[in-house]
Amino acid sequence: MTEDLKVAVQRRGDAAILYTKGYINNLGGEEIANRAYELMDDGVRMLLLNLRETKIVNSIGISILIEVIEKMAERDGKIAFCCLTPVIQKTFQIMGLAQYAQIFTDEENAVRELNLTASA
Amino acid sequence: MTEAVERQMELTLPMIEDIEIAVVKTASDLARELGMSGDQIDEIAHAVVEACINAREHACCDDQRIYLRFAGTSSDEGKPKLEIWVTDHGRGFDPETAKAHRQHRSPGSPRKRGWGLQIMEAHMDRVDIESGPSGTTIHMVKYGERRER
Repeated sequence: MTEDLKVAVQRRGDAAILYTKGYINNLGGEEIANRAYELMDDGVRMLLLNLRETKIVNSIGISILIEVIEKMAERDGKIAFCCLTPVIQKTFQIMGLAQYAQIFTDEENAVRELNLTASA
Repeated sequence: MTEAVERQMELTLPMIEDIEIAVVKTASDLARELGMSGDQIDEIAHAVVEACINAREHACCDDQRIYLRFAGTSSDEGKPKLEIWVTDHGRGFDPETAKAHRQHRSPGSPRKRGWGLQIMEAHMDRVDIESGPSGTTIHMVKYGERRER
């Protein structure tokens, strides 16, 4: 029954893009958090989460993402999101996540606006 | 000539991790059959997920079951309509107290949990809660767009 979330990482200098695939529930949120914390420990201060292949999230998963945003802010870093479905974007806005992280329609736009450098 | 679609379904499921995915599949298939749009189906899915999580996290019931009922109607004259009831036999909660808690939250303050009811209300056209010492039923209604003739 469980649909495990898969996370792929593309490192770009002191930034990284995380690609998620699947359901962001408590386990999925923790998987993202673990990858994000590893990257933060390795000096990453700009994380872009591309949710193109995530079609469903729940409030527990989003609450974990908010914790990740807070931890990144403590280190003077930033987290942004791109490629959200309209319903996931609406859910992020309801929970206030949109107040703490930038949301971009597509990755190309996010990479340009955030000035993410090419892969290291 | 009117060709009406009527569907009813009942499910009893164990309160186990990620059981909401099975409920999402059932609700999505039904909504698609009624002619609802992709975004509407997504909204139903997210509301159903929160209702199931609410039952699983807060019910604390002996039978460890979630009881679901789906009723869908669609006709050429009217909007498709999907109703979903999510019931648990747990200890219940006071919906007014839950609403009061969220109203007292200061804007911008990070509250990480307790968003389920707001998410359900935002994604559905109507959400009613009946809760008492013998359990809780969340009744949700979603209307689709009127079909072009």
